[in-house]
Amino acid sequence: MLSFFICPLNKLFKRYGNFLAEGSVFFQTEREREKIGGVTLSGMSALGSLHSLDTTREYIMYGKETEQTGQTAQRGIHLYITSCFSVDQLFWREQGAGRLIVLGSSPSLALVFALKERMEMRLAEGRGGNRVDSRILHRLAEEQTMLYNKSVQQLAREKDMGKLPFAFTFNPWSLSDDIHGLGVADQAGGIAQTDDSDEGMVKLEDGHYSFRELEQEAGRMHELLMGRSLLWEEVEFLHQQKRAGEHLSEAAVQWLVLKGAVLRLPGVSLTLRKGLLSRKLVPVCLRCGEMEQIKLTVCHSCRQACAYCTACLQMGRAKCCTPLLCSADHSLSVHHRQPLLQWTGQYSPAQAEVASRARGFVNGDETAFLIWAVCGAGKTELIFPVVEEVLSQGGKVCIATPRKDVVLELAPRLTRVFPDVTTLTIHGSSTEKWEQGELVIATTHQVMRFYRRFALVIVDEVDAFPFHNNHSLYRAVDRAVSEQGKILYLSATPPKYLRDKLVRPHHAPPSATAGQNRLCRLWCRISRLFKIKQELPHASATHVILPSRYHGHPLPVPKTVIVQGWKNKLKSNQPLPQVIQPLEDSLEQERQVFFFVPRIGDVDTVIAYLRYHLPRYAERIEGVHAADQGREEKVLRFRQREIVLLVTTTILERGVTIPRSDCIVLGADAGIFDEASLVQIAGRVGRSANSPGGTILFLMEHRVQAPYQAIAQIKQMNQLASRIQRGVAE
Amino acid sequence: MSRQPCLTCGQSIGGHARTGVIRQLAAMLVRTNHYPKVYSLLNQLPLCATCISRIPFLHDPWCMVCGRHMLVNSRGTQAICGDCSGFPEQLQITNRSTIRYDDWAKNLIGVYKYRGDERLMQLFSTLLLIAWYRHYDQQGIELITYVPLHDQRLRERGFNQTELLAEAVGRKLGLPVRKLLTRQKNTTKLSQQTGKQSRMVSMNDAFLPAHATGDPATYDEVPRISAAPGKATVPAIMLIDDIYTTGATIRSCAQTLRKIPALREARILSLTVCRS
Ligand SMILES: [Zn+2]
Ligand SMILES: [Zn+2]
Ligand SMILES: [Zn+2]
Ligand SMILES: [Zn+2]
Repeated sequence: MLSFFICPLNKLFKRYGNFLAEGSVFFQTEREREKIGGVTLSGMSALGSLHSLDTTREYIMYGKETEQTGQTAQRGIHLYITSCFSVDQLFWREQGAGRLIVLGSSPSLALVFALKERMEMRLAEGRGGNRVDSRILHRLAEEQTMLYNKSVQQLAREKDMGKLPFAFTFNPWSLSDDIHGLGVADQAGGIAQTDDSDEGMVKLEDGHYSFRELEQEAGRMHELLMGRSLLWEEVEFLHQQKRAGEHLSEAAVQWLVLKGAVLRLPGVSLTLRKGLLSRKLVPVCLRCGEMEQIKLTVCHSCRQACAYCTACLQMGRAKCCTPLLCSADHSLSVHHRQPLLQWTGQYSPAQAEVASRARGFVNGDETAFLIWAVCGAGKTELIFPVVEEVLSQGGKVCIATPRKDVVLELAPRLTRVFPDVTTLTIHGSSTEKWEQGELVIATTHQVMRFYRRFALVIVDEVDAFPFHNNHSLYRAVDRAVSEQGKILYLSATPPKYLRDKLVRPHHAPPSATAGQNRLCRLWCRISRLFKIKQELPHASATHVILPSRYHGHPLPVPKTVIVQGWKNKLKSNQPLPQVIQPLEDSLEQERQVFFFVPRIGDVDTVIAYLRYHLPRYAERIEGVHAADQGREEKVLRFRQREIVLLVTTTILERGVTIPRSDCIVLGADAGIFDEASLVQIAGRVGRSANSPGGTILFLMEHRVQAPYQAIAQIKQMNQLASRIQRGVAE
Repeated sequence: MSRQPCLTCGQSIGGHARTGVIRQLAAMLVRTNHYPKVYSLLNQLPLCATCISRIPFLHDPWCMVCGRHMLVNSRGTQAICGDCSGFPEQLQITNRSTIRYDDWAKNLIGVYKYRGDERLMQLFSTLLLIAWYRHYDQQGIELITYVPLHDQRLRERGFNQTELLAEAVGRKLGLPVRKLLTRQKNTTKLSQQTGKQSRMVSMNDAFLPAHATGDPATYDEVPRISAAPGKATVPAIMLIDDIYTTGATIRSCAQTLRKIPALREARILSLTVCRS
């Protein structure tokens, strides 16, 4: 039996030796080479122990025969990937499973994964009654590796990298040594390190384990990984944080993978797509789902062709040779004190209806829901009941929002109303990243680090950067939510994609099927085409609209003004009455003004221009943009009414509210101002109950769609509000 | 012009303000013969106007040896700074750097070292090229090499940030890039060392010629570098690193490079992004 272990190691040794001779791969120092030699001589190593030799981590692929006795014996074969083969042997022995056939190994997890997938496909195609033996498997592996090598070189050529010095290597094991199938471990005594005692002790790189000890260690690791989706480096970090001094046992992780408690994926996967002429290699980042921004490189970690993702690089390097560990969290938390919500505030009737509909959603059949609440409707309070509902059922809740400042603003409010709930605030520089909590408030990027954990994910400001059009973050949310979990979108300006999906026409019955809904939408489109009056449906099983502000007054409607040649007039300091007049009016009434411009470069020009033409207010005119160091301070002075006119780029389109203020958008026809952005800007005005009106001007040179769409949206909201007031919305 | 946002502040790149800043900067950095080259390099930087004007470029007068900016105005003379004059002439290695190692640079270099971000690589290699046009284009450089990482560190990280820089620079200049050195000791991190002296001691014999250790990354023959008959300047090899602190790394590398027979006659120049 021992020969089985020595053989592959001999092979390995030979292989490394060959590499040295061929000089195609870097190799370790003299010291490390000795170590391998030592291992071979003493014959005491489990295959898993290769890791501790500071060499490249290897992933081994093996097949397991599933044998059914009887006349019509059919041998099936299942393929597995492991980083510690001896753990797998122990596992299968306990299960009393059939023979294990080691096929080979590679440092590139992505390659082994891809090979496994393609080989399984092949095996499924040619299953029938024929017997699959190790030779067929080896041939398949070799064939597929060659295919991958060809396609990776092809990809490198396409990306102008020339010929890659390293391609993929999948190292076949033990084929030629013995045609009777050496490298086949039978179930009787597969583990060379089994102690003489029948305890089933296994010696791994990190010490001796009995079956029970391994189970226990695996249990502790599981607790650590539960509900998370982490790269191996992050697991190491987490382990160091939480279990300092303990050894991070790869054997325990492998045990969890075998038991199905942890899903191990390559950081970047390699799939072959059928192209027109040949197959095309497509690397996909399995953490963020990115396909475009993946860089092909020659990696010094796996000494292979490798790829890494640049889209999520800021959270660590996801690459072909780094495992991504995902583990679902099915645990329920118990709360002893009810009610959880300690809030004394009052809802307006409209708010109360929206909040109860949202609460109803989590107990219904739909998986996604949209709360479309206009700017200034009091969004945050609306989610209190639904959060309480889920928490009291034992589920965990995540509130994801794109910006860190929103996270920091939301957190104290939620902690106050849910005093008995463990609340975590998670953003890039947060120290609570690795804690466990029932209510998590996170930036949308950090949501990528969760896996099947939350019964409810609330996505705040879906339309704001970077969620808008960002496929990967939708994906992250889908993954963070548990299997039966719900997603609640919260927005003042939902993107078209969500509106189409969730705002169901009111003439469709609540229980409408997807097909019926599609028909309804088609009907809506036709009626829009023929200018048949469109009414926005107030609520359905998947959405609810809150069209009025908390004070109940209608939203101020923006006006458009065409200003020819404002850029030149601005530069040559010629008067622009369409700009100056309304400003004078506002300032005279002691109202403050947001003055939006499309580009950073416009800020200084406009300030100079306005100071010249409004000399009375010259000292109280300032400007801000994203790169401005003194931004916070200027916004504060604006709040304190020291500054009366603030020239700004779109950075202030949300967040800052000033009572008694007006808005002017110069160049509203510029591409940067889209419908959502203009609605948000208009939402700055009329927020306070004692001054619910105000002026919003869209100044532009050309007639473009966005400003008119924004105005139409605002009008639509006002119509809906008055319909609801009259009680005819249903 | 790329439509991606500025690498350091996230604002959109572009606008006429940027052109003005770049023009002024290019005129300040180089004489007219290299103005177009440097102008287009600056233009390629993935930064907005504000951030470009914040780059801490090194200005003359500088030390003829290590390239650091000197306060004493000794323009025109072959000035050597205090640190460098302490070394015997055969140990002095000419170095030039592009920027000062201030907080801005420290932050970016830190991020680049551990993530190998592609866009930062583009930023730093462009900065290196600017220094090349300022100082080295007449030096007869024929070969580029870089300061290696220790094998174990390399495997952990998966990439060597200086190797990526060297390759980018080599590609742009059409010069060959070779791995000539192997790191022997896994020298402790910069921050963990105390004092200049201990750092210099720990750098002794830190490197070996790569081909002697059988490092297979040196699969190509090292080209022989020697003066062509009738040519005045001796050809040079350029050693690339990210930061020049005390120069110990560079000197140690240079000593080892001199041991390689094919390079015995070559002059050794070093080019780094930062000079601290
Ligand atoms: Zn990614
Ligand atoms: Zn790799
Ligand atoms: Zn910038
Ligand atoms: Zn000096």
